[in-house]
Amino acid sequence: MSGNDITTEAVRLAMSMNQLRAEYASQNIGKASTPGAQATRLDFGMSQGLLEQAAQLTQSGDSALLESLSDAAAQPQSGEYLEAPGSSINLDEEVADMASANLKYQALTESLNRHFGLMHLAISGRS
Amino acid sequence: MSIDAIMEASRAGLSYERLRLDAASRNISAANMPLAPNAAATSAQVTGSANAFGAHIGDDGFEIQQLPIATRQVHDPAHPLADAQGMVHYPAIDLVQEMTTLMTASRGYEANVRAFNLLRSMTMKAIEIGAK
Repeated sequence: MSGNDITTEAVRLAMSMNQLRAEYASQNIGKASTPGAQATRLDFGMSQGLLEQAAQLTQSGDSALLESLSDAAAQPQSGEYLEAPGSSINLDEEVADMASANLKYQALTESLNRHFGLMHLAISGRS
Repeated sequence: MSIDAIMEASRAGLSYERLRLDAASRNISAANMPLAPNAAATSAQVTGSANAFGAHIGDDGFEIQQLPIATRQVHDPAHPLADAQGMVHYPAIDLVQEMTTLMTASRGYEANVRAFNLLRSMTMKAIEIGAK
């Protein structure tokens, strides 16, 4: 496995993290006006750790890291969300969460596009 | 300063202005509410300071507290809450002050939303660098 795949997997994991962020932000917005609603917060400790490992990787071909990255991207929600008791839902915070998740998602999509653009250039000889 | 840090600053600003709005509207709603005789008057105030540690755990260090204030007395012997001297007590809330807080909080909130949106559109533009 080459280093390229680690990049792709890391971006994939980060994209699914941001997708989950947007998903839970919209869920929180949806239940904001119901009585006694509590915000659901996400805790990305494990995925964040994997991404940091991937970012600090100097040599390519760490197959164990690659495997855990792709596992985490496939199953991002296992144990990473929690009902935060007593925390009320603020609509503006949730909308801001959604906006920043959207921004990061677009940035990641763009970077993945450029990445595949380079691959396309290498294969076809023209971009 | 990373983009995330600027966004966090805008969001902290939003929640602070919302707290001020909350406190000012509570005070305005309580301004003409008569107090029982011998009851202490309080007004909602935003207290606390921006502490460095709290910022790391998503707590910006501000909260609304009910602080004691003076009372305003109005002579109205027929009122059911009048005391022995025929005076009715109200919390001494300065409506001009509260309305000003309301306005500045609302303007501050708008400014923070605008800063957030501006930063977002700047970042979207930055993504387009080098794109066809």
